[in-house]
Amino acid sequence: MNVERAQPYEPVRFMIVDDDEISVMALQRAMKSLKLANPVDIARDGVEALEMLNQAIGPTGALPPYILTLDLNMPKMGGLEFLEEIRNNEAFKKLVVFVLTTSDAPSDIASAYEKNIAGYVVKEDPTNTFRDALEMLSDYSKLVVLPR
Amino acid sequence: MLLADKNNVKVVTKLRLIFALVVALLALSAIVSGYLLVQLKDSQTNSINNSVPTLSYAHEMANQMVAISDLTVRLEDVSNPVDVQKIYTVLDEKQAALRKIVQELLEEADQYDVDAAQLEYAAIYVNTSVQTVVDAKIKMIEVEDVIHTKMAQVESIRQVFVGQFEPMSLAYSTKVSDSLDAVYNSSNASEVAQSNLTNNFNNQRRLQEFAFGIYALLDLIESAPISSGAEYSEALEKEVQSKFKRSTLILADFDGSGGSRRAWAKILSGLRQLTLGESGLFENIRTVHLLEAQFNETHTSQLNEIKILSDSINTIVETIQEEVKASTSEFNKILSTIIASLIILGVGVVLVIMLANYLVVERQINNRMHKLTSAVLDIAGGKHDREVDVKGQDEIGKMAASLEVFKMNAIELQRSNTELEQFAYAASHDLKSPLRAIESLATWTLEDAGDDLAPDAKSNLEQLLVRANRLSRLQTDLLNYSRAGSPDDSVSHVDFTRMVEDVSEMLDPDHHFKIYLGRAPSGLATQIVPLRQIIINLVTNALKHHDRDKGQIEINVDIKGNRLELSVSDDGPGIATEYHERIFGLFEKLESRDKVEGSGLGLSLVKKMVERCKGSIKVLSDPSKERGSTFVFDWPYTELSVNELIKEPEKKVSGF
Repeated sequence: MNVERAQPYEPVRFMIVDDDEISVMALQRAMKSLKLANPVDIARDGVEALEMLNQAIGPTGALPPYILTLDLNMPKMGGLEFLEEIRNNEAFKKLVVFVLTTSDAPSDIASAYEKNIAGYVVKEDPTNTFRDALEMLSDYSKLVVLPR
Repeated sequence: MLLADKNNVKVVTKLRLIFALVVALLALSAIVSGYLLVQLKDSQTNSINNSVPTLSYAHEMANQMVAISDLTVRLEDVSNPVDVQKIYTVLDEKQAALRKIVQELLEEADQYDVDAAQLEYAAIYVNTSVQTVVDAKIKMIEVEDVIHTKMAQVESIRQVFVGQFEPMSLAYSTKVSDSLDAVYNSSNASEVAQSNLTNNFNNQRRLQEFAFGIYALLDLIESAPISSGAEYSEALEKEVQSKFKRSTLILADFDGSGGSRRAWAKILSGLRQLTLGESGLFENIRTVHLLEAQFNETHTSQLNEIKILSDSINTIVETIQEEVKASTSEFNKILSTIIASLIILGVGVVLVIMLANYLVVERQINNRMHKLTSAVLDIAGGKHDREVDVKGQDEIGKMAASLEVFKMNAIELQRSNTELEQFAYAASHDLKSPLRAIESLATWTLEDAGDDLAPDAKSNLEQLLVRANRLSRLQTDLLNYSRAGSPDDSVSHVDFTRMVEDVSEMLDPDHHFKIYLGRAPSGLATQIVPLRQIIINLVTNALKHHDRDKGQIEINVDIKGNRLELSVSDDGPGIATEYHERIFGLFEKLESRDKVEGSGLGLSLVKKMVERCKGSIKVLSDPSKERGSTFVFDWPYTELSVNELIKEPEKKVSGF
């Protein structure tokens, strides 16, 4: 499709923040079957994710366009803690985050949305959920203008 | 002392003690009052028995005496013997009555400080005096009659004299006049003529003198009966006597009358006899005066005796009055004593009750009961940290101790339940992740290298996947089951038609079966979420266990009192009676897992949810008679008003 863009097309980077190996594997398989070309970073926990984000800051001090999938139950720094951190950080405040987690507890959902997440997805069926999620993210990234 | 050991004595015993005390006080007051009332009665009886008859006698006596006195006075003026007799009859009656009364009174005379002898004498005197007075009166009347007769005779004598004097006086006047004429008309009045004149003149003069004397005498005599007083009569009598003498003297001097003188002397003598003689006028008059005196004297004495009687009566009456006064004051005293003692005892009883109320009822029973009740309510309401601060060995104390035990049990139970729930949740939740991993890896392996595997290996892997899936579903069901402990309790309007349609769409989208709503009320609200789950589970079961490709499942809703009665009926093979209990058990299944997929949790979940809402579920089925099974359970509901119905937005509750 021909779309007028404000800035040159730069493929969005995906960061998958999840400590579960299986989830990561499932995501990677899904990417393969969907033939997505976006670069993917994988962080095992909130600490790693923050480190990676900091490293990704360019010379201009700006982050490249990112979409994050975030699991809530992680060691060292959990998803909600991580959200708290980035929302207090000037550089990371505007990051687009989709929570992708096993928990369907209303309290978790409410808390996550408090931190201005873009969406909350509950991991149901390992194969299909990730596939559908990634498909959605791909379309999202192609259509939506991301903040800098 | 009972009070010191207060909480060790049974509550009931304490109360009984109090009642016994109150009853004792009341009995005491009754006894005291009874005794005093008896005294009262006695004093009154005395008073009445003694005083009243005596008073009536006294009254009677007074009446009689007054009557006697009156009658006696009246007797004085009576002049008719008949009347006298009448009065006498009455008098006699009265004095007899008086006599009788006095006799009665004499029996009590010494009681009343009265001289009995004097009393008796007086009564007797009254009796005799009446007789005397009447006799005197009768006699008086007789004598007065005699006097009248004699007076009449005197009157007739006067007439005789007048008859004689007048003509003679006239004759003499003529004679004198003739003589005078003879003397003054002749020149030589003879001495005879002169002496005739002198004789005639003297005779005339003497006649006149006699006549006047006689008239004067007669006048005097006639005035005698109407004179008053014996002394006056006596003086009169004397004067009459002297006049008689004078007249007799004059008559003696009288010589010119001839035979008249003798006749007159005779009459005069007769008159003298009539008046001054035996049983003459003056004697009778004297008699009358005597009788009068006697009458008056007797009357006076009678009055005196009557006065004596009257005084005695007064004494008696006064004494009785004193007695009655004393009796009345005694009565009042006793009455006051009764009232006072009743008041005191009443106050005593009230005080005892108040004291008992405070000491026992309030402090020992009510207070502690109150504390116990509030503790029970708090603990029942879930406040497990409430202290039970009631102690003692009596029933209340024991209840408090038991309450403490219950509280501990409740705390333990709650803790245990919470632990269990947490365990169930943790277990089911934490199973999820590895399960998913197993499923994913098996799937991926099959995907990636399925064709490269030996058929056995592939089949094994497929079986692995199937079992993994089963485990996953079991885990989900377990999770739901554990969650059923705190379901979504929100109440909202329920559209049964819609619900059944949704369930049908979800569980049987290809409409192999006819899943429909039979009858159902509208305008109700209930906890939809758990109810939906129950319907889903029951319909799922019906579908799973149906032995045919086509069939029907009917759902009915009825109102039974303040609960709904729901039934889910199918036309499947039915459930044998011996399994009706078992099927609701945890993990119970009637078919092997390979024939019918299911965790065995569905019905136990349904039962748990139904019982959580204080209901019950049962199954009606007998395959030996006919096909089909019906599950019946009850469920709470509330009615919605029309306004609420309008306000409730139409909610489409989408799939689980």
